[in-house]
Formats: sequence, structure tokens, C-alpha cells
Amino acid sequence: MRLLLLTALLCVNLSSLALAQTTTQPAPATPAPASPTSPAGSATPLPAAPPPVILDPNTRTLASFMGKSGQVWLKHDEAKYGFSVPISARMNVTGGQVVLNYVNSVSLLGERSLIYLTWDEKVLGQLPLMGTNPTGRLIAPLDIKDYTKPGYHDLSINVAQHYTLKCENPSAPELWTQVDPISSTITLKYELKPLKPRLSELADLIDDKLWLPYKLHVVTTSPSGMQDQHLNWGALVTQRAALYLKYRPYEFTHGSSIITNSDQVVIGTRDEIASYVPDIANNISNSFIGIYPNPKDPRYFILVISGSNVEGVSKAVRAFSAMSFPLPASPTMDVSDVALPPIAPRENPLMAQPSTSYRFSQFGFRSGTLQGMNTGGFRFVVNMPADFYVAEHVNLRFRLHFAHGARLRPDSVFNIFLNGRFENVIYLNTDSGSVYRDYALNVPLRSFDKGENIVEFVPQMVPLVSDQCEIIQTENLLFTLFDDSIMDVPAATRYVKMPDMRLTARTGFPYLESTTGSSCGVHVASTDSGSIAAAWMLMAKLSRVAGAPMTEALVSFRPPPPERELIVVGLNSNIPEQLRSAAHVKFDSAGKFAEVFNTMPEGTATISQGFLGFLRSLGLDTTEPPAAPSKKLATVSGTNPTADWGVLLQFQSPNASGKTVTLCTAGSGEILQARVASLVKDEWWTSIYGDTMVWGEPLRSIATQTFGDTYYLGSSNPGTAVQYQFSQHPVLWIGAVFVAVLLFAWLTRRALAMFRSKHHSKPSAAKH
Amino acid sequence: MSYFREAQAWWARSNDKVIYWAWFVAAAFMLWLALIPTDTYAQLITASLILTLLIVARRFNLAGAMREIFLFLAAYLSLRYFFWRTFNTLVYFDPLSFTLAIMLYLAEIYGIIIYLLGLFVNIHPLDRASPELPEDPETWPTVDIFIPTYNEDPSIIELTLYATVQLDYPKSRYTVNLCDDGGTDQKCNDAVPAKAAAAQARRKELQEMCDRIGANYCTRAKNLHAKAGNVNNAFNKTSGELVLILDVDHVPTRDILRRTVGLFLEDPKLFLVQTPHFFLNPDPIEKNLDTFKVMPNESEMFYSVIQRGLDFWNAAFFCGSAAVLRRTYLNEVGGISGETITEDAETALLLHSKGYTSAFIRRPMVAGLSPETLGGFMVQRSRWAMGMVQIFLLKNPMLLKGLNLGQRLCYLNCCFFWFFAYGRLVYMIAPLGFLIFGLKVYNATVMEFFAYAIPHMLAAMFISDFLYGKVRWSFISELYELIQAPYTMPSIIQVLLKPRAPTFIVTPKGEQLDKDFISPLGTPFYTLLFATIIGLLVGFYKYFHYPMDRSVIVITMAWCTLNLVMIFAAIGVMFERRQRRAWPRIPENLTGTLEGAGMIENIKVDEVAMGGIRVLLSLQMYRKLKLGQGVILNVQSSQTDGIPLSFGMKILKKRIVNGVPHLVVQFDYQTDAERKAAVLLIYGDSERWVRFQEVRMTKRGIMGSLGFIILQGMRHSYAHWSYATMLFIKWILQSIKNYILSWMRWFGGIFAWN
Repeated sequence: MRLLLLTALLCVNLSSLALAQTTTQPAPATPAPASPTSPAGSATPLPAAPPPVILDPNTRTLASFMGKSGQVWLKHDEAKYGFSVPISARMNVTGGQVVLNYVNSVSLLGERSLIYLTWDEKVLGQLPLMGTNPTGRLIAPLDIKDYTKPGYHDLSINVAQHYTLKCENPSAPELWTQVDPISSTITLKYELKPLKPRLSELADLIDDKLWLPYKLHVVTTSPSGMQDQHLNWGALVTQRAALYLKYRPYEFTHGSSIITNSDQVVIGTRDEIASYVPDIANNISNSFIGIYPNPKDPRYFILVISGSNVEGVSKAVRAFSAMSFPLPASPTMDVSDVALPPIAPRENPLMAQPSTSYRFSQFGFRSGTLQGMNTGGFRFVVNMPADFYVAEHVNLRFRLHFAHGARLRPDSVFNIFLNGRFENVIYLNTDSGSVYRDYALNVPLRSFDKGENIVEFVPQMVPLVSDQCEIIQTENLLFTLFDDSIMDVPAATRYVKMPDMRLTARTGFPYLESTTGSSCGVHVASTDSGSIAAAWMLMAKLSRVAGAPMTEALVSFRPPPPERELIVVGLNSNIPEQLRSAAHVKFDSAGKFAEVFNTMPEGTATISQGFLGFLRSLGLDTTEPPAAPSKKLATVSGTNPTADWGVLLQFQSPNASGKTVTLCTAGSGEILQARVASLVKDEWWTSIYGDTMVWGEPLRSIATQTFGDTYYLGSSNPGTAVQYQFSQHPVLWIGAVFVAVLLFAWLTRRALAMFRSKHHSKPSAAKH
Repeated sequence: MSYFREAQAWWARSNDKVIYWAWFVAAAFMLWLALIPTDTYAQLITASLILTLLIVARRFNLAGAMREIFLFLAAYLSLRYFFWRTFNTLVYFDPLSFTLAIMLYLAEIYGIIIYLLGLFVNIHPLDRASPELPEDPETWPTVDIFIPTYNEDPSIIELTLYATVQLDYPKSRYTVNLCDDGGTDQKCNDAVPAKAAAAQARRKELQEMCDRIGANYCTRAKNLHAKAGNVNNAFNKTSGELVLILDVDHVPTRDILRRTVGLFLEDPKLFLVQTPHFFLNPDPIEKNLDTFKVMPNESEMFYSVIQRGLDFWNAAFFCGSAAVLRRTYLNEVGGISGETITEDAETALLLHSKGYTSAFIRRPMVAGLSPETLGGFMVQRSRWAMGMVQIFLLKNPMLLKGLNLGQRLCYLNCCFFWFFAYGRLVYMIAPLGFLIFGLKVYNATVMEFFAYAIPHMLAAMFISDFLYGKVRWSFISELYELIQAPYTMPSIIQVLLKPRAPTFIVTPKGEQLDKDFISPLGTPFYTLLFATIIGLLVGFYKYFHYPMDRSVIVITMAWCTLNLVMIFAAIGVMFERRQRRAWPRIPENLTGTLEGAGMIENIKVDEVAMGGIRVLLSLQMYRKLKLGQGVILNVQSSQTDGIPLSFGMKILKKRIVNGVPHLVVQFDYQTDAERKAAVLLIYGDSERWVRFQEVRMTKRGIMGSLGFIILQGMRHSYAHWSYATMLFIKWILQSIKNYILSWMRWFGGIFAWN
């Protein structure tokens, strides 16, 4: 028996230990996310996936309006799924149509089941749902002018489903219809309107409701004449533009001439830009912002930010980039005499700090009441600092103030989700209804992601009376969550392992220690327009993470001071030698990545599955098993292997300990601009991982790896570092324990010997 | 080189302090390592590896530094558990859950404290040798032997007196004093005539016994301060430099003074030499579970290991008997101190606090009697519990001036140990709180339980097995504590409420049980059994109806199952077996001759007792001898310098066992000298007790021990229930019979009337 126990423990331990060693090994490569392209809407019935087809630019899939991927399920006797369809003020919509491809249950009774589409609650069209003909397509025209005004419109798919003419179970599992959001489309016939723009309308001009990815062309003096201030101006303006667009994709280009087919902004002193906008130059005051239709294409605007000198331009740029600067309802504005508020460090209002309690209202949540079944839930967003480190058992506590109605069925619950993952539940079992104050719920702080977290409180209420042939009323299904509910964030230390580009992508760490970017320095290593535009696009993306332009970020053609966290954007051949040597990816003299791609090590599993798997098989561990790592190597051959690739690296700065360098490079300016334009799109940006990323076109050609040297940032408290290292590397801990025990045992032995010689020196007590 | 020599010299000069300071720093480092909160997975890895090493190391005979490494590795796991338990698992859910959770936590804290204190006490057990006495016996210290008695059977007293007058020590240098508290003036003049007459008769009988044997009879006017007062009375009437105190049932071997007195000459500051209490008969638990012949006696853990550990720290304390004390130091504290009812330990504590030293000789040199019944056992243990708790409260070793840190911790360990009753009872009810009432008593995930709790439990078992495995099998401590817990707990509470209230109660010895019976002390265990079974049934139900909690339910049910094993064993103990023999039998291996039926042959003796001897002889002689026939037995004894002892015997039994003819011959004492010789033969040799102990000093291992308890517990528990069932059936039948008879009488009365 003892031998069996010994053998079992040895096997478990050796396997766990061997695999635990691999926590220091590179992280696995991420799988490539799904292609952004969608199959064309066609009559091909689901579930077979049609081949991808490029859509008409005026047509978008319904999936592009959904917050998450997946099919649309409409269940039970009555269901509804809504989309929010934007229409920009710049769009002149003359018509359109909605094409809905669906499959319904074969149990549905055609006489009583139907699907109908509403647009802002106006019915566009309807079809019966027939069990004898389960696949269908609903085509509804959108020809009603009054219903296509600028703004967000509610497009809802509604179903009424029955399987019998008599009384039925309203939640019978056979009552379903599935809509394919990828093959279902909405087409708008529109044209961009000619503009008579005013500055107060900028939000409607740089509009997130535009259907196509937004492009903005920035015109400055020629690249050879560009100085750091031009970089800085362009950076701030493009960041503000990106923020206007909220989450919509964007692309910025740079040049020294006015173009058509795109909005553009001209930045520079009066003298610098006079040749670009000669008609306007004379009107430029000391500090000037003006917006005009493009004379060559009045569908697009030209935004002029200028001044009589550098200071004047800077002031105008600052005024433009301020999040809440009151722009007038006129095409021009003289900001020369406007007193701008000083730049001050700004905390992200959605960022949770340790040892702090927050009311939900501080995260923008407002008290609300939900009524009925499947009504959705309450949600708010809270950001967690990127470098939080806590012990496993540390919990974040919610103290909820809520009320629920009476006569709920005993299986009514109140679920708490974190980032879509079920975390906790409250059983709504008080028959007479109840009001709760300070109902405490704990969620492990480690369950929160670094950066943005979506907290959802979802009541699932079921009426007590819900049988067949019963009158079911849901008016008593009421749930109110009060915004003075409290979230207690426990104490936490700061400690994080770097490099971690995923962390940077999610949180901006370490560049957004302050949301004004005061710790961020961007070195534009090349002077070509592509590199400049690429740098601006990257900064704009970070500004979206920060929630405001990084007014204190330093962007320059020269390396910023070493105390700044560094972002380097430029061509391979322009990478500073010091960084070239420090990078874990080696360039040859021509800036080629021949070595890295041929020798890129494979990722391995980061978590032992042996013993945990064993425990799971016994039902003794319910933690989620780690996702199986996928391995993907970028393999490039040829004489110029970097020609079509963008490369993103992150490593510790050779100039200052504890500082980070993020390097973005490609073979040419055009390639760099194109790659970064892809990179800042959400589906790419969320794929950033590890310390090395290589990507090209199409989307599937992403490869990420982690194989550079690691370093740690955060608390100077050695206890935190020890706690972290011991948790990640139990071997270190075991070694420390053995050393401690050996030392302690030796000292104990010496002490006991001394004691013995002092107190038991008589012959009778001598050692025998 | 000169710098090196200077450094060496500095190291030698400052060695003590440097080592001690370094030790504290190393201890602080270990504590810090134990405090660091790490991920559960990392804890699991680390604990698994350490446990693996411990399991491997256990197979070797660890000595020296390896021993300490083993102990500290195991202790590290327990420290990890302690800190995790303290900072992570105590969560408030509701008042009832929190109350039970705190109770459980305190029980575990108690366990960990005792465990760590035990580690300290036993880190370096001392083995003392007995120094040789000077050649001139006239320089040997004079010794007064005190044998306090109260109400013990005179046959037991006689035995001890016979042994004490035959010690291997100059007769002129020691006296034997029987201190009779049963025949005091107060008793002899009792208001109840029958009691007075009994006391007078006792006094007379014992006086005659002492005269006959050659001992001094001593009594006093009043029964004040129980045994301590009795001893102090004799103390004041004698003048020997040393005193040997023996319980009346503690028959000394011949060499007891030879092996102890020399230590007083060696160390002028020595106030005490304590020797082990060794028992010839099984205690009630050993008897009722039938473990006496195979399992080490319960007292051997204390006397074979713990007292040696205490001795290292100069904290070996007086256990009331089988100890030699120095009169002059006893005089300083007024004799045997009596503020608590464990006056023995209290006296030692006071003398330690005055800076005097003590010693412990491991060799058993008295043979005593365990209480025969559970009732007597509980009386004894309750007294010890109350007394030690009194010392804890009234004398508080942590605050008493004059003790060093080691002594304080040793006494704290000995006093605090007696709170085990609290821990045992809480461990019984805590899992039931969860299973039956759904109380949340332990806030942890299953993974954490496996990472922290299981390694701690295993480590604690490993340490216990490592330190005490040969003298205390695993789970036996738990069984003994469980059996005592329901009865010592009220005693402890009583003392906590009124520390000065408890009075000394003499432990009954030499009781005889004529028949089997079910002890009336079993009620708490029936209650626990019922509750635990209910808990398990509820657990089964919850397992199927609460799938989310399955892992926790399984763990709690496993806990309950272990409790059930202990309860069954306790119930087995509650079935008191009759004690057939008046005198304990002792295995032996002697040679001699047997004369009888006109033959004289060489024989072997394989068992001796005061009632008789078992002899192995030839078939020829076996056939010739008859039951009741007289024979003469001559045996060689190591205590008579080669001169054989001769006894007239009567043949009591004849049998052939495994083909070997045996005779059981009974002593047919004709003279006092024969009695004395018999005592010398049977009780005179301490080596016999050493061999007797060694036979049972075997390791069984943790699983082996658990299996043993399960087997013995189930067997005897079954016997208990069978007996109870039989009694119940008898009672039913008797009731039916009485009912029928009463009807018959009634009918008969009608007919007669008619």
C-alpha cells in the first residue's frame, strides 16, 4: 500500500513538475481569428457555408451589427432580436432592402407561426414559419424615406411560434427559428451628400455611423520638411478623429497634396499650407480651425488647422483634440484668444483602483427595472489596471442593492456574468418579493481581465403560473438593480510579466500609465508618409484605449528620452542600431528577418494538464481546462522575406531598465502603412499576442510567439515578486524551501549540541 | 592566514550568540516562506514533492541532521496549512455557521500548537545511563521509601512491601514506610461504627503486615490533602537524604535504587529522578479491544519518548510514583505541594522554577496495575486532566519566574495537551454540521483542500509515526482521546469555572470483573454513532441531489467515515470483559528443575505470576504427575546471584499445547520467605520488563494501524451489539414470562375464589 502511494505521488509529481517547467517557455501561438469577409448572401440554404464573396460596399451583413459572433436564435412562443443599424447624416438613403435567411423548426404550425421584420417598430415584411418548409428567406424593402433619417435605427426580427392550435407550453424546446447573420444582409442605396460643413457637426462628419471604413488623409508640409511638431499635430488630430469614430475602423494616410475620395485635414502654419489651400490661407488667423467642402469633391471635407506660427497651430490642434471643446456652428473658428485648460493627468473614470469602493453609478450605470422573461440584463464596463497582481483567493466584492417582484417561480435566479462567463448567482426564492441591501457576492479578482471587463447582472425570472392553458402574466416579473450598489476592490499589488503585447493591446500598458500618455514616447524612425501614417494610426488606437487623446505623449523623429516607454515605428533599415541589437529578433544588415523565421521556436503548453486533468476526471477540480495551444509558424522564403510582412516586437529597453520598447516595422512605407491599417482593426488588434507578431494579408496569415527574454514590472516589494515567481515556478519555491530547511536544520542541530554540552555535560547524559 | 585565524577565534568566541541569532533568522525565514500566499496549483506541486520525499525518507532509519530535516519539512507543510487556514478560510456566512467554523478552527489551532510543541519537546530525546555508585556503600545516600495507601487490597500492598524490602541496596541505608491513609485516627474514629471498625481492622492488619515483612507502618491523625498530605506526613517523620515514592501497586525491581541514586551524586542540583510507570495488566481499552499482547501500552509513548524529550530540556517532571527525590530541595517547597490535585507535577514545576534539575531514566523499574474498569480509568484521567489544567491556570508555566523558555514550553505542552477533549468532540460534530444542517464550516475549494489540508494531515501523521511509531500506533491516540473526551471535557470546564474546586480522588486499582457487561459510560458514543450514521445517510442523499456540492460532500463523508471507525472502536471498548485472573501473567524464559512423583527433571518456565507458574516439561513426567499433586520447583533467577529459588507448588492445570506438555503450578506458600522469594523471582528483574516492552515495540505503519483499529473495533463492537441484543432478548423473554405468570396468577386466583 505504501509503495503504491509512493509510486502514485512520484508519477503525479514528476509529471506536474516537468510540465510546470514549461511555464517559462514561450506561450503558444494564437490561432488566426476568423476572416472579416463574409460569404455573399445567396439562396444557398444553411448550414453549408457558402464560399466567401466580397460584398457590395452598400451591403453589410447583419453579423457586422452584432456585438458578438454566433447565430441568432429565436426561441419560445414569442421572441425578438434587435439590431441597431446606423445611418450617417452624410448618407442620402434612397432605398434599400433586408434579406433574411432563416431555418425554423419542423414542429412549427404554419397557421399560427410567423416571422416578421420591423424597422423602428414599423413592420417591413412577414412570412409564415412552416414546419413543412423549414428554410426560408424574407426579403423586405426599405423604401420608406422617413424611416431612414440619420441616427441609429432598430431593426428587429420577431417571431411568433406555435406547435399546436390548442394550449401549449410556451417554452417548448421545439419552438425555435434560427437566423443566419452572415448570409442575412441589409443593403442601403445611398450616396454621400454634398457637404456644407460646420465645425459643430464634426461628430456627424467623422461619423461612426458611416458604413464604410473611414479614411482620413492628413496633409502637411512635405516629408522632407517635416519637424517633430508636424508629427505631434498629426498625431493629436488623428487621435481625435479616431475617438469620434468610437469603435469603427479607420485608416489614416499622409501626404503633401490634397486628394479626392477622402476627407482630409490640412495642418501647418499659414505659410506651410498656403499652397494647398490658397483660397483659405488669407483667412487664417493666429490660431485657426476651419472646415470646408472639398472643391474637387464636395462629398468630402477639408479641415484646416493652422495658425500664423507654430504656437498658433499647436493651440488650434489642442483645441481641436480636446474631448469637450465647444466648436461653433460655423465653418471657421479663431481660437487665438481662447483660454484652453491646462493639460493635467487624467484618470480613466472607468478604471478600478485597489483598496477602493465604487458605486455602480461611477461606471455610468443607472438604476433600472427589467420586466418580463428573457429581458436581458444590466451591464457596465469596468477597467482593471493592467499590472494588478493578487493572490488567488483575493475577492472583489459586490454589495448589491436590488429588489425583485413577488410570485416568481422557484427557479428564478439572478445570474452574474463577467465577460460573458457565469460567475455567481442569487436565488430569487422569496415568494413575497424582496428588497435587498448589501447583498454580498464575491468574485475572485483574478477572474477579471486586465483592461476592459463587462459585468452583467441578468435576472432570469419565470412566472409562478406557467402551465399549459393558463393565463400567463409577466407583469410581476420585475427586477430593479440600484446604481448605489457597491463594488469593493480589494488591495492589490502591481506586478506583471513582460513583454506582453496582448496586454498592451488591451490596456495600453505600459504606455498609458497616465491616460494623457505622459510616459509614452513614439519614435518615428522613418520620414516617409507610410511610416508617419502608421505611427499615427497606432497612437490613435491607443487613444481609444485611453478614452482621450494622449496629449502628453512625445512623438518625434528622434529617439525620445530613455525614461519614456518607447514605441518605434519605421522601416527595417531605419531601426536604430541599439534597438536592433537588443531585439530578440535579429535583422541582417539589409533589415531582413531571415533568421527569425527559420528558427522560430514552437510554442508549448503553459499549464500542466497531468494532475489537474486527473483531478478533473475525479470531479475534484472544476476550473476550466486550458485551451489547447495551437502552433503556427510564419514561414517565409525568398530573397526578401520581409517584403510583404508587418512585424511587431516588444522587448525590454536597452536604454533604461524596466522600460519597454514596442517596435513596428516593415520593408517599405507602403507595406508598413497597409499592415498597420489592418492591425488597428478590431479583429486583428485582438489577435496581438506574445512578444513577436508577424502578419500579412489576408487575416489568417498572423503568427505570434513569445520567445524573448522576460522581465517584470511593478511593485518594488520583494514579497510581491517572490509570491509571483513562486506561483509561476514552483521549482524555485521548492528550492527555497529546501535551502531554508537545510539551513534551519543545521542551525538547530548546532544549537541543540550547544545546549546539550552546556546542560548535559555529566557522564550519565553522554551520547550512547 | 592571520586574518583567518582571527576569524576562527572570533567565530569560536561568538559562536553561541551567532548560532542562536542565526537560528532565529532562519526560523523567521521559514515562517516567511510559509506565509507567502501562492497559487493553489503551485502549493499542490510543492506539497506533493515534499510529501513524496517524506514517504521515501520514512523507509530509512533517519538520524542526525536527516532527522531534523524530515521533521522540519513536515512541519513546513503544517505551517503552510496553518496560515492558509487562518487567512483564507474563515468567512462569515451566518451566525450558526460562523460559530461552528470558529469552534473547528480553534480545535485545529489546538492541534497544531500541540503538534509544534510536541516537535519541540521531542526534537532531541535524551538517553541517560545510570552512573555507577561509589565502591564504599557507606557513602551512598540514605533513602526513605514511601508507599502511600488508602483503600487498596492488602494483597497488593503486601506484594509491594515484599519487593521493597529486598532491594539491591544496603539495608542500613534505606527504610520502607507504608503510609496508610485508610487507618488514620480520623478514620478509626469515624462517626459511622461500621466504617470505624473497618478502619481499625485495616490499621491492625497493615501494622501486622509491616511488622512481619520488616517495613514501617505510618499513619496520621487526619486525612488532609489526600496523597500529598499523607506523603508529607511520613516525610516529616523520616530523615533519609533521598525519598523514593511508590504507588501501592508499583512493585519495584531490585535495582531501582542502584540505577537512580548515582545520579544524585553526579549532580548536586538534581531534585528528581523519574522512572517509567510500567503496567503488567491491560488498561480497559487494551482489554476490551484485545490489544494488550500486540500493541504498545498507552503509557509507553509518554515514558519512552516524551519524558526523554522533556529530560533534554530539563523538564522531566514528577509523575507521583517510581521516582526518587532529594529531601533538602523538597523541604524548600514544603514537601509535595498540594494546591492542585496533580501535586506531583506541581512540585516538580516549583522545583524547576527554583533552578534545580531533574532526570529521567528510561528503564522500567516498577511494575504496576492499570485501572481495571473504564470507570476507574476515567477517574484517573479526569484527575490528571483537572490537575494539569489547574496547573495551567494557577501556576501558569508561561509566567512562572525561574523557568527557562524550554521548560516553559515543555510544561505548556503537558498542560495544554489535556484540552484534547475539546478538539475530539469538535472533530466529531463539525462534519455533521455541514451534512445535516448545511452549515458552512470551512470555506475552501476542493483543490485547496487537497493542496493544503491533505498534505498537513499526512505530514502530521508522518511526524507522529516517525517520533512515536514504535510506542504509539497511528490513530490510537485519537481513540484514547475520543473515549476520554466526553468525561474529561466536563471536568475541564469545571476547573475552568472554579480552578480550586477539584478534589483528589483515588484511582481504584485491583478491581475484579466477574462477568462481561456493557459499561454505563457508553451513552455519548451511542449518541455520536447515531448522529454520524444520520450524517452519512444525509450525505448520500445530498450526493445525488446536490451535484454541485459533490466533492465537498465526499470529503465530509470521508471524515465522518473515519469518525465512525473511531466510534465503533469506542463502542467496542464499552463492552467490559471479565477479568479472569487476579494476577497478571508475565512471559518469561527461565530454566530450573521440577521434583515430583519421584522424579526430578529439568524444565523450562515460560510464564510467571504471583498466582502460579507455567512449566514446560517432558511427556513422561507430565503423565506421571496428577492434578493437585505437590511438587517442588527450583528456578534460576538473575536476582539471586546464581542461587536457585525453591518453591513448593501445587499442580493446578495440565494441558498439552501444540504438542508440548504444560503444567500450571500454583504457589503453595508455607512461609513468608517463600512469598518473598516468589516476589523476587517475578518482580525483581528490570530486564524482564525491558524485554516485555520490546516485544510490543513494533511499528505498524499508518495504514496498518488503521486497519488494525477497524478490525478490532468492528469485532468488539459487534460483540457489544451482540451482547446487548442478547440482553434485550432476555429482557423481552423475561418480560413475557412475567406477564404470562401474572396472568396465570390472576386466573389461578379466580379459580381459587370460585
